[in-house]
Amino acid sequence: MQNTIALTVDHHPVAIERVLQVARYRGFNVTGLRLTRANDHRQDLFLDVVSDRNIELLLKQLTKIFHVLDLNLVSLEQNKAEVVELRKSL
Amino acid sequence: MTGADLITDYLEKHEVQHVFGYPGGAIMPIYDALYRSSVQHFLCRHEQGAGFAAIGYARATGKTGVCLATSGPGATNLLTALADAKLDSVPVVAITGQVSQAVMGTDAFQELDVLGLSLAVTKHSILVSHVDELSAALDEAFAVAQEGRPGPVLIDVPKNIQLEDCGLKVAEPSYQSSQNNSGVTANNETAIYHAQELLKIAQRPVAYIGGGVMMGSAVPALREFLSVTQIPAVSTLKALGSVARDYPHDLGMLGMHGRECANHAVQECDLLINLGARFDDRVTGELAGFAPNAKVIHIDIDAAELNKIRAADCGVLGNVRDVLPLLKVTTNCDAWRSHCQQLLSTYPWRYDAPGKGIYAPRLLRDLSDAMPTNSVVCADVGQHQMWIAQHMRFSHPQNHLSSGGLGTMGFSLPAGIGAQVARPQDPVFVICGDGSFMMNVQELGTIKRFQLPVKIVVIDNQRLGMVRQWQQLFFDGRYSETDLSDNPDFSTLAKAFDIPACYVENQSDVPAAMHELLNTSGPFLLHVRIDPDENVWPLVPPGAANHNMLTETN
Repeated sequence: MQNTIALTVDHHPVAIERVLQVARYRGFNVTGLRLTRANDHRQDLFLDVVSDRNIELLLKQLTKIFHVLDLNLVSLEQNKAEVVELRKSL
Repeated sequence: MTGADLITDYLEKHEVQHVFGYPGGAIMPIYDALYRSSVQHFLCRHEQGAGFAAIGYARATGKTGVCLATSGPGATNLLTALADAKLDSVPVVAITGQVSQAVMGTDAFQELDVLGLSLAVTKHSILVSHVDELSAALDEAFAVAQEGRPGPVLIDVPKNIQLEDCGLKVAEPSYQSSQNNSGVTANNETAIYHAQELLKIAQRPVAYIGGGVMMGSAVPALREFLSVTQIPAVSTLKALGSVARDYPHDLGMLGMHGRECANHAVQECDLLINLGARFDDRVTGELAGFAPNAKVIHIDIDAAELNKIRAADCGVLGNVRDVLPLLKVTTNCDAWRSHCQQLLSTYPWRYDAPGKGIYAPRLLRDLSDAMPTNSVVCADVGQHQMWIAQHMRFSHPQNHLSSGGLGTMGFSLPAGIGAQVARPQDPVFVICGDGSFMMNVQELGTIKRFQLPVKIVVIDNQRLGMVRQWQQLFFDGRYSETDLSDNPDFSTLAKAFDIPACYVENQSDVPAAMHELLNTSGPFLLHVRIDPDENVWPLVPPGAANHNMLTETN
């Protein structure tokens, strides 16, 4: 099943690496990645993932990453950037 | 004040009294600062030993263990210990030296991408990029290591930053935790009510107690909960010692090598109350067949554990310590309690092994009965580890240190060193197999250097015992690379480190040897030879449900 996760992460060199490492390790293939710089301290990351596993597994693990400041599940099936669920916000 | 001075100053101000480590080029400025510091450094003989010593220190007290290593191979030698801390949720801060920023990325001498290596084995890691960030990085590391579900944090400090003048000012603490470490959140009120209702109507409840009880400082709350509810209790490896020793409904450890009564009770229960445990595969056996008739209440401080392995009928996010007082309800399950008592009687442990040789379960039970109740037991990994869990009793989970999630051989000797440093007034026993003992045997040098009165018991079957047992049971007796009959003489080895030792192989010699072990004031090694073919029972084979245990008779 395909999903898109919208994250706001620290503008920190290792932040993206940690997100990708967790996605891979938890059994989610990253099929797309879009990164934009929100300001000097934050960047917005849209991550497309595919897995047979429940997306909740990945969302909960990503929430634990220190550099992840905000995290939302965006519904890909509706084909628009609609926030399905606010999961973490600082 | 240089960056290195700031680090040692920070450690002093935050009451870090002991650190474990090994110096090297990239961390020399920090060691130079340590030379002038009141922080006591324990030189280990391998960075892995330093890492496990920090773990033992943390697990025996609940404080954060601190270890130091240099760049490159020093840092990589820490990784196994950091992984162990991650899987067992132990608060550790590792400070590593890194090559100077000017040469980072140029394949410099002893340079590695330690930050990259740390991603899989740490809760969080930081590469300090400016001396002005150092104080905040230390704040962040120590806070993250302890908050919520504890875990290891690594700080990698380039050498030039260690040497750089940071001025006399020390940055004010800036880290704001985003995690609520205590209290029950408002969203849990409905869940708490649901849990109370489930408890009231349950006819066959079982409390499944995990390591989160100890980590959440919830042992008193647990004992109070059990005394009110009188629910039969089973424990994971890390939770052993959480239940009061005189609690009549303690069924012991569950899982792959758990007690038969514990496994049967869980399989028959209609309500499983998971307190800070994670449904580890060593516990559940074949997952679809685990507690097949039970509704599940799952209380955990880590939201990622709720519904990860087993769906919870009632998930409560919070510290067990804060939730349990809200669940003290009277349960109506007298018949079930009687049934569990019957299970305890039906599946007793037996110690009447024939022959002159030493039966390890009996020796460990006798040692457990003889040692003071404030003793710390550090187990290594393998058959002896399971026998310790089965046959020894602990008055508190901080008195039983055992590598659970990673199952790292070589854990016990350095962990015992850390525990002894943390609790100098308490006896510390390192109990290991012959294979495990050899993995970090160099730490006998640390015991000698600091004259730590650690008591070491080597259960020697001249085999990699647990693997040998699996080869016997599941690989048609093809014993590939599990023969360790060319071990050195452990007594002579200990004496080379000025550690007195004695050897026994007959049961009749055990009482005198145990007396000498318990009454020697300094370090001591007891080398115990046992039958190489002795197996750990019961055993839940791979792919089987927990009620389908193999025993000695089947």
